[in-house]
Amino acid sequence: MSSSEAFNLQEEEKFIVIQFPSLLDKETAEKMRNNMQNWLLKPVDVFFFDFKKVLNITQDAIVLITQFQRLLTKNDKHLFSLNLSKSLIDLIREKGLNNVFSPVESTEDGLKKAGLLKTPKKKVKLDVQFINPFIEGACETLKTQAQVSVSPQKPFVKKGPLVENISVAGLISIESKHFKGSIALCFPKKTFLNIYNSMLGEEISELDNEVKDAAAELLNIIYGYAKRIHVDQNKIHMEKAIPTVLSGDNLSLDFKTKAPVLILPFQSSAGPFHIEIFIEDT
Amino acid sequence: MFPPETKILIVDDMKTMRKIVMKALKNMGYSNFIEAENGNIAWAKLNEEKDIGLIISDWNMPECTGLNFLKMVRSSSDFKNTPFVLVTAESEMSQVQEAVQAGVDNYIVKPFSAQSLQEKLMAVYKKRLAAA
Repeated sequence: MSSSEAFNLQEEEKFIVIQFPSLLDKETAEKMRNNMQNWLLKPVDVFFFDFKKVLNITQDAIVLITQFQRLLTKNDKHLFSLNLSKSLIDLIREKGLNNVFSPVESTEDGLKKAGLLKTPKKKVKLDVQFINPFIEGACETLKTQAQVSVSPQKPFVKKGPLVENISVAGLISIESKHFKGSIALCFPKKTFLNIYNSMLGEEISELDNEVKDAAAELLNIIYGYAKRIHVDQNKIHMEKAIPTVLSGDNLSLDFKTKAPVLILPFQSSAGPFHIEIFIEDT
Repeated sequence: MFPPETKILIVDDMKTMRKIVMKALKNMGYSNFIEAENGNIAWAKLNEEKDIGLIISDWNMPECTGLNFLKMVRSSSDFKNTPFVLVTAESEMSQVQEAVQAGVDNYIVKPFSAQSLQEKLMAVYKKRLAAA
């Protein structure tokens, strides 16, 4: 192949794909320089350089691509690279030019990054599919980590303060691209001490800070369990979370939300406990 | 299996989880433990103690994550060969791949039983033995 191959242009409504020849040397760079002004005048905001055929690239071409990208940026336009080989990706990284070349998987990917293609908002509801992983997570976590057998009861919507006297609760803010919410794992004192003692083989009778932290850790494990299922099976992504602990006599959680808060009650060999959860659109 | 006198560094920001791991290890016959609350503290302890023979570290910790600590260990000439097991509440494939690339010996997903921890440690020991 010689560097005299023409640049192949694929012009679309929102973008242009410029396919490079196999050799990007000084001679090709010169041709590119001559074409650049015309490319800049095209009425599109996104340019894709397609490196599918490219076997070799010289410093002259790299300099020119860098200049072109800067010109595009000045004009609020975008440049992305398609079909970069591993050796080209390594070269770009080595030269610290990742932001210049901006490799993408596809034109769709580039358009999304340029903000020209909106990702459809995924509607996530507080339904069986969403809450089941948390219920499974609670059962599995207490069984495996604390040797406590758990049976889930019928969920219901929280209408007011609950009769259960809650003394300790782990709390996590659920963060996602499409929704946010909270989940709390709430224990009466006796239930929690039974779980803690079973988990660690101890005989603690009072709730100190170290003991209370276990509520956060248990919720962290349950959240991780549910998150895994949501990502792998339901394609719902949730961010990592740092749990916090609330404690006191007769705790009542008051989430600042208009969304319904669901109560997931459990009976266990250590006593009753429950999860409170809600999600709402961001 | 790792000898009973092995000094084990247990890293987790939650004391409860460190105690759970230690309880399981005690049942396996181990008693020589060093604790740390995050990767930075663990790194300091590793340098102080010198003879730590096994690291069991949580992933998600403030200040210095388990993964960052793993990378510090693997890039150190003194400790690069120290067996390292990551404990995580999350196990997305991308995370696992990142840990494997960073040189983790094995990982265990929470919740875990004492038996599964023992099996993971046995697997690490056998792999190390085979590679020696």
